[in-house]
Amino acid sequence: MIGEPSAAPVATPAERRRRRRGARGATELIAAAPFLLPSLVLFGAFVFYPLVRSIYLGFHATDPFGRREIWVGIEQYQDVLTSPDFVHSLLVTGQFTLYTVIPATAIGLYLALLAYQRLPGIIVFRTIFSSTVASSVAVSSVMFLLLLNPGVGVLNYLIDRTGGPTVSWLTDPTWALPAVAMTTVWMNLGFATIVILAGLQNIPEELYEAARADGASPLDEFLHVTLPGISPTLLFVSVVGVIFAFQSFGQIHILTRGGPLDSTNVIVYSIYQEAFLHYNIGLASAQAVVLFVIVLLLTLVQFAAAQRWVFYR
Amino acid sequence: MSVTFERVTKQYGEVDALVDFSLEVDDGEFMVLVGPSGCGKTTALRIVAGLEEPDAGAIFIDGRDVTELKPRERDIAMVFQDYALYPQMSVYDNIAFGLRTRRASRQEVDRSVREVADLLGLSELLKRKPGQLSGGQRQRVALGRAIVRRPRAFLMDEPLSNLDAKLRAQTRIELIRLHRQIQKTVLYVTHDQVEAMTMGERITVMDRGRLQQVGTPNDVYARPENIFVAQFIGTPAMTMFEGVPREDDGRVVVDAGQLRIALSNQQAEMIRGGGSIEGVSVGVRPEHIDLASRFGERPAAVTFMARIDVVESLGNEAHVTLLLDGRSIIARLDPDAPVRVGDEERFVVAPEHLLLFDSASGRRLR
Repeated sequence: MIGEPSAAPVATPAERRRRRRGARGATELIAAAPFLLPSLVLFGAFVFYPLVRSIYLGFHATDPFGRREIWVGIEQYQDVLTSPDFVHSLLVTGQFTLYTVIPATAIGLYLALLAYQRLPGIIVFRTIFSSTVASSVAVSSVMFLLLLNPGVGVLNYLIDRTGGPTVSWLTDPTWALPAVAMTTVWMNLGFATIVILAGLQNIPEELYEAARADGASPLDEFLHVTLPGISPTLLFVSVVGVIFAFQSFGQIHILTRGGPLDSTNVIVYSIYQEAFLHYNIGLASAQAVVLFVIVLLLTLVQFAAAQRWVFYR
Repeated sequence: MSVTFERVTKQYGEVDALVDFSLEVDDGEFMVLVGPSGCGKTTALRIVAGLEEPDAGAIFIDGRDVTELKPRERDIAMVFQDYALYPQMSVYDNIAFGLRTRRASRQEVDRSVREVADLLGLSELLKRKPGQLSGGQRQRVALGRAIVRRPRAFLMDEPLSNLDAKLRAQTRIELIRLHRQIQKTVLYVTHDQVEAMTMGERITVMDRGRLQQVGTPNDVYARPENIFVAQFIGTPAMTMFEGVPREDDGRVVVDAGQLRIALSNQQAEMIRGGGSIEGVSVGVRPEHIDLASRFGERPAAVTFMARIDVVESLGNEAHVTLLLDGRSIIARLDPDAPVRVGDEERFVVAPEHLLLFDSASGRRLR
C-alpha cells in the first residue's frame, strides 16, 4: 500500500481539520448533553417558555380569564406604544432609573472607598455597608414605610427638628417617586458596595505605589489608578442597576401602589395592573415584550458607550 | 546622588525585615542588593523610595535626612517587578504621567517623552496600550517612565525577573549601557546572582534583614566575609567541609570526616591566631576541585577518592556531581575531562584555593 496513490480525493489540511472538528463536535455534544440537560429544562420552563409565550400573547387578545385567544396582529403593540398611560409609565420608569442608579453607584463607590481603607476593625464597617444586600424588598419597604410616615416617621421628625417643612412622602405626587427611589437606593447600596469593593481589591497595589513614586496626588491616584481600575465594575453595577430599576415592583406595590396620581406607576407596576387588576393579559404581555426590548437596547447602548471609558486589563 | 542607610530597622509583625542596616551608596554608583527571598532587600529599596517607613534609623539622600519625606519629595524613580504600567494609558501617557503630575508644560512633556522614547527604542510604540506590548517592551516603558523625570536616583526592584532568559541577558547589557550613559545612582534589587555579579559596581549581600557583605563582585566572590556569602554567591555553590584543626608535626591539618586537609603555613597562622577555634569550615569552589591526573606534581592540600554520580555537560564546561562520604559535591571540570558515571576517580584541591571559616561564628579567617 505504501507509495500507492490514494483513490480518494486528497483532502487539504484545512478540510481534514474541519472534518475532524465536526466529528469531535458531535461526540462532545453527546457527552455534554447530560450535563446541560438540567439547566436547559429549568431555563426552558421558567425563562424561554414564558418569553415565547409573552410574545405570542402580545399578538392575541384574551378574555378576562385569559382563555380565549384571538389573533390581533400588532394591534396591541400599537396600542401600547401610542397609549399616553404607557408613555407616562415609561417616563416615570426613566426618572426612577436616574434617581436610583446614579446615587446608588456614587454612594456605593464612596462607601467602598471608605471600607477599602486598611484600618483595624474595618471588617465591621464592610459588613455594615454591605448588609442591605441581605434584607428583602418587603422588609426594606416596610421599614421605610415607617421611616417615611408623615406623623411618626424619623425623617419628618428630623426635618421638623431642624425647622424645615415636613413632607407627606408617599402621598404627595411630587415626593412619592423620590421617596420610593430613596428606599430603592438604600436597598441596592449593599450590592453596589460589595461589588465595587471587590473591584477595588483587584487593583494591584504596585500601581498606587508607582503613581506615588511618579508624584501623583491623592486626586491623581483616584482619577488615574482607581477609576480606570474599577471601570469594568462600575459598568457592571450600572447595567445591573438599570435592569433592577426597570424591573422594580415590590417596593412600589408596598409603598405607593403606583400612586398618587400614577406618579410612581413604573412599567412593571402598570403591567401588573393590566394583567391582574384589569385581566387584560394580552395587552400586559405586549407591554412586557416592549419592556424587554427597551431593557435590551439600553443595555446594548451602555455596553457600546462603555467602549470609551471602560478598561479591561 | 548618594544614598545612606543609617542603622535602619524594620519589622513586619514578628518578622525582621531589616535589622540595624547601614549602607552607603556613592553618587552615580550601580549598587546591587542581593539575597534570598525574605532577606529584606526589597524592604530596603521601598524605604528609600518612601513607600515604607522604617521603625528606627534614618535615610539620607545627599546628606539630607529624608526619612520623613513623601515619595514625591525625594526626587527618585522606581521601576517595579511587574512594571506597574497604567493599563488605560498609551505608552506616551504612561511615560508622560510623572511629568504631568509635576505640572510640566505641554511642549516640555512632549520633548522629554520623545527623547526618552528615542533612547529606549519606543518611538514606534507610543500610541499602544501596555496590553498590546511584549514583556520586554513593557519593561522598557517602565524604564522610560523612570528616566523621563530625570530623577537623581533609580530604584529597581527585580526589573528583569519577568523576562525570558534571552531577553534578560540582552536587557542586562542595555541597563549597564544606560547607566553609563546617564551616570545616575542606581539601587538594584535582585535575587539573581548573575545579575548581581554582572551589573553591580558593588554588591550588597543580605540575609534575614542583616547586611552580610559589601564589595565589588570580585571581592564578594573571592573573599567572602562569611559562610553565608561564600555559599550564596557562585553557581554551583561552594562546598564546605566541616572539620577540627589539629597540630601535626609543626603543621596544621583539618580532619573533616575521612578527609585530611593540610593547610599552608599562612593558613595555619590564621588558625593559631584565631584564639580557641574549635571547628573550621573549609570552603572550596567547584572550579578548584581538579582531577588528580590533570593536576600535575604540585603538593595538594587534600586528595580524595570519589565516585562520579552525574555529569552535566554545558558545552564549555562540565558540572560533575561526586559522591564523597555520603554527600554530593560538585566539581567544575573541562568539558573533555575523562570522567564516566560510576567510576572512582582521585580528586585534589590546591592549598591556595581553600577558604577557612570559623564554624561557630561563620566568619572567614584571615
